Amino acid sequence: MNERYYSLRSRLEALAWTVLFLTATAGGMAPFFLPRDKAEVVFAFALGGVLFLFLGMLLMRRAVTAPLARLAHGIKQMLEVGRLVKLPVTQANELGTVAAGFNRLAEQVEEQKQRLREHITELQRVNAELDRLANFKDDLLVTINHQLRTPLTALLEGLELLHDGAMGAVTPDQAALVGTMSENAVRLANLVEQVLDLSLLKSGRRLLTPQPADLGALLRRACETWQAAAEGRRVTLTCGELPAVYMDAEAIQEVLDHLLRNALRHAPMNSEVALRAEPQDGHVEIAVRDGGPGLSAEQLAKLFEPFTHLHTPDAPGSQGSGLGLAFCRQVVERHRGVISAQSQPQQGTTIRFTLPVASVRFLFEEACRAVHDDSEFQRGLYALLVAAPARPGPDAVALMRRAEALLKRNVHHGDRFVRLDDARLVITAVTDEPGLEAMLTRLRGALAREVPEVGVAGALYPHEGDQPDRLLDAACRRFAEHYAVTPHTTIPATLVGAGA
Amino acid sequence: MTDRKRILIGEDDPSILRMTRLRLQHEGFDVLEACDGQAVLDQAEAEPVIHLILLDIKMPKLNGYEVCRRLKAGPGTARIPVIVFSASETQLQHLANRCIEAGAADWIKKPFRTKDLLGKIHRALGEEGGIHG
Repeated sequence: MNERYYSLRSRLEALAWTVLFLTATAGGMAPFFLPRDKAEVVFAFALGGVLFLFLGMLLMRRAVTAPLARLAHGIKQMLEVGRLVKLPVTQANELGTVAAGFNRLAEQVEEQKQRLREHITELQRVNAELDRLANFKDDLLVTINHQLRTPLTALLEGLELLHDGAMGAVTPDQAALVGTMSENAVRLANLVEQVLDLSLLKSGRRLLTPQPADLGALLRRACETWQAAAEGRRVTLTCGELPAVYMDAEAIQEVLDHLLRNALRHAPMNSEVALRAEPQDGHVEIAVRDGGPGLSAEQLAKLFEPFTHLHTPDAPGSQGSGLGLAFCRQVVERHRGVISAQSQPQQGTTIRFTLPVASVRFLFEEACRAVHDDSEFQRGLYALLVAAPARPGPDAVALMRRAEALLKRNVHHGDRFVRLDDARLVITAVTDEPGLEAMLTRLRGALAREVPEVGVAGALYPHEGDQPDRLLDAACRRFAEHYAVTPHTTIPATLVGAGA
Repeated sequence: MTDRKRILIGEDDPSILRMTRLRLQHEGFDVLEACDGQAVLDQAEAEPVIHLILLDIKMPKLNGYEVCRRLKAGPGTARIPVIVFSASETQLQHLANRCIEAGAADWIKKPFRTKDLLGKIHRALGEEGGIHG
């Protein structure tokens, strides 16, 4: 459409110019060839022709070019600025139709935008309401459980005092009754503890603080502890050399306690509960297998849902709260691990979960995530320091790219700094002392702007023949001195070279 | 004069106070009670012999940390071992830590079982007896 119009217009214009040129030439040359009176007539005609053509071109411009220019301007405004321009519809021809069509289209776009805006507002409102309700539910659960614990403890204490004869001698019948009451109070107290554990974790009131740690030692301790309580069953541990994993040791110990307690609860006398751990690609898999009655497909499907009870006719009175495995799943998933179960009736049950190996690559990614999730990152400037070799190799560049993907910010490879002008984040490879100084100078310049907060995260990159940990420490310290901030995530130097 | 050890409990929750008192009496201790911070200080200064003080962090009038600090600053009360009761709230944990810095012997998280508390009481009395006895 456009092309055809433009070729037509250029042809018309070319024709007009030719006629104009010829007429002007004829008019101009006429006095040399023609007698004076005739030449004047021809000259007058030529002049008239020129004027006529000039007027014609003006008219064409007014009728065709100007509306098209307005249309082009309207389209440009809509596409680039997002502003809608209403075009005047002055002609009853095709151009008028195009202008009217454009106007109609623009109105439709505006209507759709308005509808979208309304939907977004509504979604935001519903989302805020859901957040509020979820918080309320968590608060309620935590408060109820806190409030339940104190009276329950008083109840337990009172029953124990009665049982111990502190209030005078009790008859055997009374002792039996107090014993049953105590058992029930203990069950209730355990349930309250587990609901509290799970709700504290889910509501984020209990924060896990994973660190590189020795999983082997934790497994050996768990095995010994539970062997002592195994009563005629064996608890065995099979694990070779294990790499350091990234875990909150206290929480993982609670997971192991839940799994081993469960396994022992279902294991028949003289059977074995096997605990195994083996390193796999980027993580360690831990498995707990019992020789118990196993589970049906139905039970397996909702095993990790809260309040799932495994009915074990062989072990009356020993059922759990139904929250242990839900708690385990929460903990494992917070460690970026996976938990699963395999079982068949009469063939025992195996529960497996994974924990990430504390590799430099994983830790770096965690540092990036910590930066990204930190609310200060949203408000202020963040520096992620990466102690790297003086000439970053492909591994270092790959790490930077990974950081870029995780943080959704541009990382300027090769340069030490990232778009300081509009940066919320500075990812910087601290290579040596002069590099550190240069970085601080540049950041000082950046911080002269309106940057309300500065956070620092550290990450180490394996480094030959230098001391990146020392550099990183120095960088974090200097930051703290200058900007009164503390490093959020500093990855321990012991992990340098742990295999990226 | 008996050789029963005398323990002062500062706690504003009546049921915890009662259960702790009954358990300690059953275990052979002499028990004094106070239900606010000021009362703990008054009794600690008035009583000639107190072997140990149990102190809740959250109390009316004066909080447990303030009481602990003043006890440790008083010439007559500085040597009495103190065990602090704290809840799991971060703020109270923080106060419990400050109590330890101020000289408290130990702390226990509420709600506690008296079996666990007795262990800490015996340790605190034993240690203190060893040092000053």
